[in-house]
Amino acid sequence: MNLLEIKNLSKDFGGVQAVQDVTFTIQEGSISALIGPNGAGKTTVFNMITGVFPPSNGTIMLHSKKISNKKPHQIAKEGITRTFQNLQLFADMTVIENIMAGMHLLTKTGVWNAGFRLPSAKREEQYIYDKSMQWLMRLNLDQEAYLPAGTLSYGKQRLVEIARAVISHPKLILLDEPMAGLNHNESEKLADLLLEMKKEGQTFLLVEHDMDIVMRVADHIVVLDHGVKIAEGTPDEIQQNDTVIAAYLGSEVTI
Amino acid sequence: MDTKKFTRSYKLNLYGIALLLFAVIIFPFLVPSNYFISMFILIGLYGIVCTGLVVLMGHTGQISLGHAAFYGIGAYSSAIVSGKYDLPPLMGVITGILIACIVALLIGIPSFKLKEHYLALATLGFGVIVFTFLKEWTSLTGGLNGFFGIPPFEVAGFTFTNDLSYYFIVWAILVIGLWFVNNLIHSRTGRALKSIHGSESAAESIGINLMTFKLKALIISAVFASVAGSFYAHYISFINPQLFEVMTSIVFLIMVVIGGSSSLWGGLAGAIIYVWLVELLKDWVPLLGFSTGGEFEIVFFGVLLVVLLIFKPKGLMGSWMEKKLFLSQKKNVQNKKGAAL
Repeated sequence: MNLLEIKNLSKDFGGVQAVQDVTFTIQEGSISALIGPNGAGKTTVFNMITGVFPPSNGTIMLHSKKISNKKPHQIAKEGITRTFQNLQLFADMTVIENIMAGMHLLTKTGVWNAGFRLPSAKREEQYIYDKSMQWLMRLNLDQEAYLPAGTLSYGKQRLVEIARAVISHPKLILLDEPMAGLNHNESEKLADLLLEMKKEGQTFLLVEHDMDIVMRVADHIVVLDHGVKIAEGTPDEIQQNDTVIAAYLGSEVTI
Repeated sequence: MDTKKFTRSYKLNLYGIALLLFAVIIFPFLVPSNYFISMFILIGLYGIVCTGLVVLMGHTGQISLGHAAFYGIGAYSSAIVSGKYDLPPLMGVITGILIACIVALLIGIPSFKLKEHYLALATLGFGVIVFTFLKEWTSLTGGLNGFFGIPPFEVAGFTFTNDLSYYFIVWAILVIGLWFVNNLIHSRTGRALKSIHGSESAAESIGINLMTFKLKALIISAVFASVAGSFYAHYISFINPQLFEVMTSIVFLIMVVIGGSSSLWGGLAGAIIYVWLVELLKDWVPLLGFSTGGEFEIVFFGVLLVVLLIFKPKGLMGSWMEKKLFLSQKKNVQNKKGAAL
């Protein structure tokens, strides 16, 4: 079933066409990857999906509901969360608080209930804590739960960021270069985690430069170059595609 | 699941609040001096304002240079409602709270639409507007001559006539305020505010509406300032616009920075240190041969602010709490790792 449908999406920044007429769909319960050389417009597509800026043209539909032109926090409410290329953790908060903050949308205690610590607020706090702790245990981070998130190693911070995005049961998670800055071992482990979460029904869209990982985890790949979609298909199809090879390596010149 | 470690900082603060309550009750019996009682009323009032500011500055990361105006709104609301119209003083306090909320919305909505620190500029301007308003609307506020004859605070038939009664009510409000803020910062709302401080784009990505939560923080801090202002007016019984000038806003800011904006106790600590230092300066400066106490104060606190920002950027309480809460736990983790090896 189609979860996300992107139709004729374009974005120009004062004359510069960053993205032109890009169309693709994401299936529920799959891992899709958006790849392409630097400057291909991948991050621009991400920013349009998450509402950082509106598209110049085209529509984005989530479960057949139009979500383009909404603000980032409204997009999150619709069920799309994300991680960032340059980690955006709440560095001064503890690891567990970071993950607890991720449950914002699942909970509703307001200033009044929280300030006077009414029973409902206490109950909710316990629920948030328990659920966050379960995720920390799953990611083997429970030992570090009470450290400021900024003091963790890069790989662990990446895991915290993913946990923060996944804990609110979003329909779709966007991962912006999740493997950047990780060593081979860490990347492999993160890939395993993504595949495991996919089995549990989670849908992902990732931008990634590590091709070994992309070929391993992705069910569906969309290739962008100079803001235009040049190919789409399964990892095998993409590896055989001449246009893709040309975009990455340059084509043979015939004189 | 075991939440002992998680609730540690919350519980520590609760014990702190209980201890403070105890100290507040026994203090007048240990030190039955009017000088100290009146000094502590002032500390309590500043403490209330700064505890509200801790929510706005320390937790949400928004800087206000206009909280003296909210303090003034509370003071003049009480003065006008109870002094001019002879209505019950409690209604004055409530009027102040309502006006502060409305004004906070009016400043907050436009300035939070812009990114970064536009609130500081907007509140700075707002402080000037309120000052001019208080100065010029003489029929209502008495203008620069001030507002005389504010009746004492009165609730449920009890009239607050002497210093001791003000001491108790001000510190009772401060204790409740600290309890409220402690509950708040250890909740979903508090985490949302801290997230905004940490990273606005990440906060939005988990569904936090920046506008609403920044407004909430601004309103909370405005209400704290307004309530303190109301009790200040009833206690002093005479107010004039100069008390609520921009310089007072900056003094509040200095207190919060000295105390440490990231800690629940930062506001109170800053208020204690500030009032105490001002008293010391009053005694010492003449000994140095200067006759100008007021100007010396500004220079002194300016230098203190710079020194603190260099050596203790998180303020006195901020550094202390960090040591208390984080470093000990880091050690625990390291010990456990050591044992595993």
